[in-house]
Amino acid sequence: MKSKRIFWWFGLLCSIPIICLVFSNFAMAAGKEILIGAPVHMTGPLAPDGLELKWAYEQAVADWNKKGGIFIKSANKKLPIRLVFADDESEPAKVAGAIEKLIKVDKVDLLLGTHSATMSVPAINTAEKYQMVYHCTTHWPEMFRDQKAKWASVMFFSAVGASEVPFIIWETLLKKEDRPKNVALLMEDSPDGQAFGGGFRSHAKTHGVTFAVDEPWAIGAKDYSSMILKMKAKNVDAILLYGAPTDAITLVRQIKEAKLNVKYMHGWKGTWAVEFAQALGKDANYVICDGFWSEEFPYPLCKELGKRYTDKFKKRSVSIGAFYGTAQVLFMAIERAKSYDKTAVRDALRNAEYKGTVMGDLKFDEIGLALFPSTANQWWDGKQMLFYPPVKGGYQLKLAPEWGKR
Amino acid sequence: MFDYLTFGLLAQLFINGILFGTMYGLAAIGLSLIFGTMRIIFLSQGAVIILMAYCCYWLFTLFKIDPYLSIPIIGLAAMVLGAGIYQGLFRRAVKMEDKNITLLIAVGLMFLIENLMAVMWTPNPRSISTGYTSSSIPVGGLAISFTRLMGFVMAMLSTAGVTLFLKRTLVGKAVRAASEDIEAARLVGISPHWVNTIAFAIGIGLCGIAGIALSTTYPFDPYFGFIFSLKAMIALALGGLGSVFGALLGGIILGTLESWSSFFISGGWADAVSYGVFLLVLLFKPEGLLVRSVKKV
Amino acid sequence: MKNLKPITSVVLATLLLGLIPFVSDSEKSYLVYFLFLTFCHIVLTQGWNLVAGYTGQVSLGTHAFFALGAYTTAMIWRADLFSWENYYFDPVTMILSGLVPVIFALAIGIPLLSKLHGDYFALGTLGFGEILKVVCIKGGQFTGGPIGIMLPSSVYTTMRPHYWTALFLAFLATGVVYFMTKSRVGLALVAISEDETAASSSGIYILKYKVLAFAISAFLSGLCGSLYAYYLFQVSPEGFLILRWTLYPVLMCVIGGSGTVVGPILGSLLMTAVFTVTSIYLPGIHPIFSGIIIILVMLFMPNGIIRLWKKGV
Repeated sequence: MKSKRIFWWFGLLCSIPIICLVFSNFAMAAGKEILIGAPVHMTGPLAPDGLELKWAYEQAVADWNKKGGIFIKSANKKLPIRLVFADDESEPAKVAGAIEKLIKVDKVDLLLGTHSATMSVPAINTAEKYQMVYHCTTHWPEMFRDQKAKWASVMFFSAVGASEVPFIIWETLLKKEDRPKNVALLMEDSPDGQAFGGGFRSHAKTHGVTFAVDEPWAIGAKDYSSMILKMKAKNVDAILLYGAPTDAITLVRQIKEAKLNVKYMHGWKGTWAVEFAQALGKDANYVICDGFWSEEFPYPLCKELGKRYTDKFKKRSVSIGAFYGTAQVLFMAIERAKSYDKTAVRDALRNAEYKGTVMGDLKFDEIGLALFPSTANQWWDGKQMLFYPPVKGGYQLKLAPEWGKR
Repeated sequence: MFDYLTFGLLAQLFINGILFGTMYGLAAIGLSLIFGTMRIIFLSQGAVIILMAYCCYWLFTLFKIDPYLSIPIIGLAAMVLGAGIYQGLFRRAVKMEDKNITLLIAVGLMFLIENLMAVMWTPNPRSISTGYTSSSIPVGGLAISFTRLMGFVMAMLSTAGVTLFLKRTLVGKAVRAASEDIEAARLVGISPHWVNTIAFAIGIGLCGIAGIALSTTYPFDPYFGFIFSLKAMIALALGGLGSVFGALLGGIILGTLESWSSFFISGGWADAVSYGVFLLVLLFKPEGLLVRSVKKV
Repeated sequence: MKNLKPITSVVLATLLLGLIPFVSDSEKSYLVYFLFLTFCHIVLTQGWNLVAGYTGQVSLGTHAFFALGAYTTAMIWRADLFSWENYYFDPVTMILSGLVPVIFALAIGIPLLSKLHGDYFALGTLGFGEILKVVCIKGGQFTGGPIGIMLPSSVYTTMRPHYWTALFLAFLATGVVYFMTKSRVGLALVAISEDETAASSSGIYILKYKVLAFAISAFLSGLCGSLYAYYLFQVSPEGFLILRWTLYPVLMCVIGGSGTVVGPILGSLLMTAVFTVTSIYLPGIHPIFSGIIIILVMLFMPNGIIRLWKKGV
């Protein structure tokens, strides 16, 4: 009989979580606060970005709550904002679960988005099902347009627009004889890499550049020597790459080992992390990274946000502003609508302009899409120096000499 | 299409492939002992390698111990850890007929180690940067990466050491006997737990060496290791079970294969080619490429 | 009488569960989503159970068949193959999504199963999944590359069809396993897993039965993949071709008790609950707890929960 009891124990064990799930439906406090949910990567390979995103959202909420919250007409007073997070485990299937949880268990009023296009597609699909506002950054406008979402809004740059940056830099910032002749394109095999790759190829055509090497870059591959040999054989003098930080560090190390001299190396995503510069030390100099934002932007709060970030993480960031700005714009939309009703907020994020955010002035079109420019920074002694778009009296782009002459 | 091919280029490609494959080989020789004696699909191998890479990183960052000087410390610590893992986790499960249990314990261990590392040391990538990082030795027009060469040397020494241990010492002979036929070994009085503990200790000890080789060559994060678990498994199957040298050679074959296919086809297809070859080998020569066919009943 | 009792209770339980969406609002209650996920896991777990629990062949290719099913659904929908108005929960599309994995299962199952045993079969199926992943990423227009195939999410109205289909599939999978084990096929399968040589000498054509079990398992996984595609509206390598879809069924099956009909159901329910609850209440560190739970369960009840109970009865 003893073993039968174990079975009952098991039944009890199973039923506790189920009861928890059923009853958590009633745990909510309506009308006292604005509850905003955000799926973020807390675990899994994308967690470094996710934790920054989480920090930035928390900063934005703290800043608004310091002012007493947002005025809501129906309550006739300012209501504080509360954020709840759910872990999306860096997996598209899990982000759906995270959103189901936020909507059904936490009963959030509005959603802020997670990071990266891979996750945004299923996240938006799921939020759409419940007609829930989903306001995010880092999702490609091209893909967002395809999704025909009615409740989501995105503020980001387009891959097509961002991928024109190197060509503009070459034409406007470099002397004619310095312009790269044999360009290599190394794009990660991911939605982001593909979106960028397509952009580069189409701009190359209009700017009269042909790629000497055009290689897809398998995620997490550990050996790039074959790729480097190919570039060496074709006298490549400039590289445009899109990949994860670990992959980018490995690539640069192996480029140095193979003594491949490239005067212009411009990386997206993988080269901007501070870990990139830490891992490479002096070798990171001259490498160019993209960015969503810079603390040198002449907009309100930028300096202060950069300082807060540096105090907390002991490094600089070129992305944190976009995350902060995403939350900021959502709160401005609530403020403008004077309501956190999802329809009102959604409408406030369409055909609307928001001025004075950390991302500058943003203009949302009829599908809820706002574009901001992508930046370019050069690593110099452990700091990302903004040089594009050019700021007056700012940093000037340097071309890399040969490895032996550094 | 390949008009830019020269002899030097091909030689460089060849050397790169071998040096790269050594990384897989290092992981595979550790696995060959664990899988060979206990038939555990030890998917946590990669996570353990990364754990050791972190140990190497902390020794370097906090105590300024050069990665290559930390080999004895990490090797020893890893061996103790290995013995602990066996005694704590696998001792009971190995006896059981059902292989899923050991597989799942390995999976559980992988979850545990990966995420503990992520929580304790943040998921941001880490790397060791020393004077010799990304330096290379020029040999007759070819550039040979220093850290990878060191990895190669370590792999060779480990292989030789383990082979000697297995052939010359009594304990080693017992491990070898057990990996060839556990039932027969038991009949002649070899205590399986003792043998398994030794095999696990050495296997994980080699993970320590692999961790050092990895941390000097690559940046790493807590989730970086899984691919090594898979590739080591493949290398093992290519080289043939029960042979330490075979495992190393299997790794080198795999590395060369990936290196060549990513040069001649395209980077993205290298994985498919290596898995394809792996499947073909499984189908047509499941005892491994390097083992002379012996029909087992 | 004795044989009918479990059947009636399962049918009753299924009918009762089928009523839940009427009681609890499927758009507001997390319970419906939770049960949907549990049912999906039951389908995959029962599929794996059939191969591993009954024939003793450890397959690590569940995610490959799951993804093949999802990709088939997405491709049929995108290509507008039958020029129908609606592909959403279309039974023909779903059945085709089950059959395509079957073709692949036969193509790789016959050579692999005739040559490989035990660990090697596990590695072989794992290799198949990895190849499929590369092919899907590099498939260009055909597979949609790393983005995958996006489906029009505007057709979604409620979660009820997902719930009921998942419930039906779980019922079907359990039924298939039950009848397989009660029939001659099942006896043959158990005989194979217990002693292959003896089974073959007593006239059981081993390969046929092993491949049959493998193909049925692929069919169930494919159906589940199709259903999940209807839920996620995007079929991508990162969403479907990840090892989690293989490891979860293995885990749930072994924890519940492999080689039994009820074990996988218990295992799926328990582990889905554990994963969900830890992910809600311990965000950030829940995989550590999952890891510890897996290890503890394997150490202290390696034969599964169901056998704790059965031993005493």
